[in-house]
Amino acid sequence: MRNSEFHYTRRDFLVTAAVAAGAAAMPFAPARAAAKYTRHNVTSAEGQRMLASYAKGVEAMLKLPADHPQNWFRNAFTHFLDCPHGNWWFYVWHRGYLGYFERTIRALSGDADFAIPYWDWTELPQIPDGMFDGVLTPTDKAFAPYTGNLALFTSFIKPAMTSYWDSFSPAQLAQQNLRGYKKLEDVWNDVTGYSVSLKNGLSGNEAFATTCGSRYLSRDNPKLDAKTATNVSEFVVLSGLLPIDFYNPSSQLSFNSSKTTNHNVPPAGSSSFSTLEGMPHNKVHNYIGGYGPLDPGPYGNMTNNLSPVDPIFFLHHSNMDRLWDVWTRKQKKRNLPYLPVGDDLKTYSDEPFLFYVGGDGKYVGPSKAGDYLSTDVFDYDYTPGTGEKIVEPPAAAVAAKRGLPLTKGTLKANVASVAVPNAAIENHLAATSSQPLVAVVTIPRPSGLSNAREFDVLVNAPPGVTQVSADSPYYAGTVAFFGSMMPGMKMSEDATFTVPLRKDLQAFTALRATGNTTALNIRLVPSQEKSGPAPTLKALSVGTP
Amino acid sequence: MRGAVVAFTLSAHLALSGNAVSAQSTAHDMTLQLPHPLASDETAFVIVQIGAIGRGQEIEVTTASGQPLGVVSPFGVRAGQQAGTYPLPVPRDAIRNGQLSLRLTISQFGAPPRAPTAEEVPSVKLSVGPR
Repeated sequence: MRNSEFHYTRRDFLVTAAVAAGAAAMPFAPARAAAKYTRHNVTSAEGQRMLASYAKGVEAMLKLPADHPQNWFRNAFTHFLDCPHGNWWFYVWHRGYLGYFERTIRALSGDADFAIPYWDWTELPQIPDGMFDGVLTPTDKAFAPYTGNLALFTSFIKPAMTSYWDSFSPAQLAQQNLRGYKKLEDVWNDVTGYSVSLKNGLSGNEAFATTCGSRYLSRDNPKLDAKTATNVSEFVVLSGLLPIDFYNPSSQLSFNSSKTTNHNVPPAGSSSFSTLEGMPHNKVHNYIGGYGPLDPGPYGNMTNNLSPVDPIFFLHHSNMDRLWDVWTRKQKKRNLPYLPVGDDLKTYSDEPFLFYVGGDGKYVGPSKAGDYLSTDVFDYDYTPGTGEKIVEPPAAAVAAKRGLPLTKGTLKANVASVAVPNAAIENHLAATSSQPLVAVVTIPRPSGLSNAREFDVLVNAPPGVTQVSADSPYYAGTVAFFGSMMPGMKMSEDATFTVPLRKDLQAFTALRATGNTTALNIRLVPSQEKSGPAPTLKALSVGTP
Repeated sequence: MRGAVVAFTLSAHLALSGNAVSAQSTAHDMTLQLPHPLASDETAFVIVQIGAIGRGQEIEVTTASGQPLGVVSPFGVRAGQQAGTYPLPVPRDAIRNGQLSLRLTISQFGAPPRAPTAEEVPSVKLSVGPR
């Protein structure tokens, strides 16, 4: 599996230099030596051997006292207190979490070569058989002294968690406050499912799971159901690897979930999940824990932020991390950015991660997301699995040009002005183009008193032009509101429309006389004369979607 | 020319004003129009926005004929929070004449799945993803 091409692509990740230079991609970095550790598919012989070491490590962690940072449950609480989901630190935080955990297992199992095997659920849509053996399932009797019931768990771990909480630095407390935890009791309410507002416990909200109910799937019933299998299908996984942007506000175009101000809070409004986090990641977690069959709860460990109590967690996330590595190598092969670009790279890299525990049993102390952008920090790679084919794209895809990012126009007197590179226009006008230029127009929803529902989009029309026919050289298209305005219904105030720009617009014909860019002046007029005033342009951008 | 553009803009409205879409989908079904025909190397995505739903509840998305597109199963969302927006890739053969007919259901405890409310699924869009 250590073929030269694989290692050539994974080792050219010069993070420090990239951050320092603000560079987005370094596609021609030199080949480097093979990684020290390899994460194998759990179904392989090497993967099976790793499971034996994994079990030794888990057993040792279970036996550690509750006040030891490497105790099995304490390790799970690191995730509970600090894990990001639904934002763009999801992959990088979990890379750090798994990397340190791997070192812990290496140290406690005595296997100096240990690397977390990955569970390629696309290839094997059922829990690997070995994960039902001994301590590799949280239903094993070895867990019972701690998770036999909530009282046992509380008496075992809560005093140690209280001491740990009391030792937090101001920076750690500030992060917990952002998360909504102002005191340990707030944390514990989420462990027990107690609702302060309802003054009652909700079984479905309980993060704690008893030994016998800690995992829904069993050796006799190991398979993911048909719906979960759909979410982990090769089609979904490959689609999730398609985005060419590390982050894009449009979820289908983004490899990562929402961009947020820090890793502990969701974005204002609604999180935007990437395909891979939102579909296979989430559904595998929840189905293993019994969403559906065990409704309305209590559920197994995998359904919540204490999910690392179930050892399958680390095989699941090893596969997610592998997919990030696949995506990164795909980006490099195509000379595309594989990290945030521009100022975003520093913002992203500087995010503090404060709760990791090292392989030596000591707290790592303050570290940053930028420390974990590369697999180099833990010196590992992966054997190939599902999705690998996307790294080597068809020749036609390699040759495809990247389109024009949406360029925001300047608004003045209800006219939007955008300077569009002539190269982008030439690409747009090419007979073989599959990336049409579009105008993305935002206007207010018409009031109930206005009859105007349709507006024509004019490009570089002289000021006196207020009506056009369909064959006008200024006419780009019409945006239309559908049906009545339904004032009693909650609707957004503005609407955004995407209008492909006709190739025969007069604005494009003078291309070569205008230097490197062509100025497009765009405005909207009512389609039907005297139906109402022109809408107020709220925003307008031009680019290739 | 103009007719084609109007048809596009109507679909753009459907795609961009999800409140209207979900309000019309009490029978579970809806039909969405692609913003433009798919190029040979493009993939369509259904973008499903999920509101604050109960823990354990999931949104299942299929075509009207029952072909599964995926299940939205929120994870890591605290009680009472919006569950987020999820892009589900759509197999090319599920699209007919630039349109996708969808069926959304939400699971509920002790009862068959039902149509989600506008609060549970505020919007559904059909978009074209990266090539």
